[in-house]
Amino acid sequence: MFTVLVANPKGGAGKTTIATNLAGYLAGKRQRVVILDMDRQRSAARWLSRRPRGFPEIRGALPDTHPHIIRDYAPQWLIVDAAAAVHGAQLQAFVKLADAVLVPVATSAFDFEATADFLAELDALKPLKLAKEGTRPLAVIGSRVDGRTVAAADLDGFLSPLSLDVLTHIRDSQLYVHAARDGLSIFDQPRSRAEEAWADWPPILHWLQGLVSAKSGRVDQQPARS
Amino acid sequence: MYTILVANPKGGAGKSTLCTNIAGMLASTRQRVVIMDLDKQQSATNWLARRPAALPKIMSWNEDTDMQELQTFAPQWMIIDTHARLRRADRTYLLSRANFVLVPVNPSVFDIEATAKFLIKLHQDANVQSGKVAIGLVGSRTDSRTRMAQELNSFFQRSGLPVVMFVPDSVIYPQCARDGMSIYDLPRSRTEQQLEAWQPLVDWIRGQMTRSNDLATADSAVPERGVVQIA
Repeated sequence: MFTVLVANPKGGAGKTTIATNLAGYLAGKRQRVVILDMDRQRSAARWLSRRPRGFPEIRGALPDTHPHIIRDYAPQWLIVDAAAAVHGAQLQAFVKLADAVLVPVATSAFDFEATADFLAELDALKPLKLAKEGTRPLAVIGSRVDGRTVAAADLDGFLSPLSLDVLTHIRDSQLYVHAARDGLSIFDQPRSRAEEAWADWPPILHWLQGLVSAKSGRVDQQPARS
Repeated sequence: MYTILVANPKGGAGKSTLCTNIAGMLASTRQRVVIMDLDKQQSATNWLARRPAALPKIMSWNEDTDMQELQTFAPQWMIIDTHARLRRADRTYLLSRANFVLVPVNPSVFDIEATAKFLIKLHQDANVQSGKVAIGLVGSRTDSRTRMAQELNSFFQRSGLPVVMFVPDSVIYPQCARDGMSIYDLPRSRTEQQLEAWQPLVDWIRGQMTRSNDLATADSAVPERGVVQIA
């Protein structure tokens, strides 16, 4: 199982949008996916409850869901939508369990400021340091980026001193808003409508693919156990 | 002093955008304004720190504030930017002190869901029920041409609370946030449309002030000019 933590202490940064759309993409690739919704506003869990029949299955879990229930389903992916307030020891524990950490950041000064300390805290965590020749399992995603503006440049300027990768800019599109309402991801929507928005995602998927291969390489090198 | 409380449990709902622009609006009409920032992310406080000195002064009320300076400044308006996770006791207290409560909501299902319960709680508050404090809903970052704008509006209508205005989805707001400004600090030629969108809020505040003055005349138990004094 590959665990992706989606986190940012600033509300409205796009955590649930990233978590649900990533889940939708993976489920569409016939992967077994569980979203663990740690946020008390339960946005992801409610999204799942709206998910129409006939679309690729995604299962949901809440903090009090028994680990057995997740384990028995044997998901290939566990996507954790983190609570806004997570930090300190709890954050460390989460990061330890995660194979990858994604931090969506919306492009406004209010968001940059509220995220800065959190990114510094993550940046210092050992499991997220760059392994030899590996891909660093910590990355930032620009959220709701309006292509017409200097916002994207502002975001890059904010992040550059932190030496963090900005994987991609997820555009500000009504597609996400409508998908959220309907329990769908943009990958559940017809190509004719959603193709433009899909174009923002390959960098995230490639990055995850790299981490998955690195992890399975590590697993392969371990002595076989019965 | 009039107190405006800006509150919503959902983060990123547009609380600080609303606070800073109301503050800028009032300051631009020569009103003395203080912002009390209860959000530990300190968005409004940082915005004030970035505010160019040449612009109309807005004071910050925090633990570092020189109280003597604040007293000399004698603010006519206090705007309170709240923490996303406001506890019940704090909410009740703040509502007992406020004249106006504004609740900004984004046109998104995640935001609507996260706000619904809060609106019910507001509705039930004694100070709201008695009419001592006026509640207004504000649509944040709303592009009126979108379907979600209509859905937000119908959510507002169902809530039974007054809808005050919709803040347009414009790049001007993040730019203002970055520069410590409000739309009222920019050249008119750039903000014509925005000012038009904000006019209903100006009118609403004015209307509520008249109303509370009428109350004051009708009921001598209400403090002077119907305004709750903050210690």
